[in-house]
Amino acid sequence: MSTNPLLKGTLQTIILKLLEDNERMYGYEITQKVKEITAGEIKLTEGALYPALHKLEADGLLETTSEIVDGRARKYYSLTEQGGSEVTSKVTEAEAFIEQLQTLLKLKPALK
Amino acid sequence: MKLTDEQLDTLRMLVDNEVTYYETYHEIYDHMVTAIESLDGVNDLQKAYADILEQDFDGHRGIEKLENEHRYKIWQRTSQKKRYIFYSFFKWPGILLPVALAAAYYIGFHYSIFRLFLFLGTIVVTILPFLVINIGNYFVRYKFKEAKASIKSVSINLMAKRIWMYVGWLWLFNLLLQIIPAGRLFTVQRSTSLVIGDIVTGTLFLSAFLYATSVLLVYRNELKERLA
Repeated sequence: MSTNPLLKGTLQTIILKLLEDNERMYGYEITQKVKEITAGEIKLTEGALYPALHKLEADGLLETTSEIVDGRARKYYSLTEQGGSEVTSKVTEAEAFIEQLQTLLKLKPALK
Repeated sequence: MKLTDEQLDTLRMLVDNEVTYYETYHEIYDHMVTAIESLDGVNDLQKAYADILEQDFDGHRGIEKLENEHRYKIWQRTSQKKRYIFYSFFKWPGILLPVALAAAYYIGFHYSIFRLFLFLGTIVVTILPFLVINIGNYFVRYKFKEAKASIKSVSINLMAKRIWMYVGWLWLFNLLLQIIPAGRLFTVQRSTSLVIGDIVTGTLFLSAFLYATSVLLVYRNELKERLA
């Protein structure tokens, strides 16, 4: 399963949660982490990831630092103070939504 | 696997041809090198690059879309910063500047030579942001040996261009007020309509000056971040 519309709705929450757990990460690392945690079931493409990262940075929830690694510049993303305080509320919101979705999807009209 | 210097040069060239801005260049290049080095082996580097480009970024169009979206986000953020600074000129203590300028205009319009100063001042207001931004960008690109433009600089340049358009319309408006006989447009004496016109254009010029100052202050902060 690659990045799909269902995943895009929670992508920012996923990024914030990963950065809360890992202090700082770069783009490729985030996609590999998601792949590792979901055992390859979810493949996050960079085409979907980077716009989400840029939006979070523009909203002030992430900040970036550059470091030279093996002779090339690597951009690391980390949570700002504002981003750190947003994580809990966003995760709670996502949990509530998933619960509601589960309730909704279980409702099936009985056909006789 | 570890890529050779020659392979890295090839990748640099491929990514350089793919992207427009240096921010995207560094991220995509780092991604490509990391992704290719995680493979067991590469027979055809260009094919490996093309495959990763397609899988991870949706190909050339994906990169273009990525850069367009990033540029739009940067534009929104720099516009917000510019607006914040612009509005600060209408609150204490920033309001001292427009008040001082307005007082200078009021006194100045009593002297015919003031119109020349106003004209020259307009030239400075429209040219100065471009000069400062382009000299600053040249210096940064020279210092960091960046061949590509920065998305942030492009956004700020666009703001500076708007100053040209605004001042252009402003002078056209001023010219029309000078040409149109007051008797047909305003039901007041011509000399009075000139005063009205001067107040209006003076106010609009003041806002152009404050807008240009806001753009320069945003650029100064961005430049400091880049040099840090």
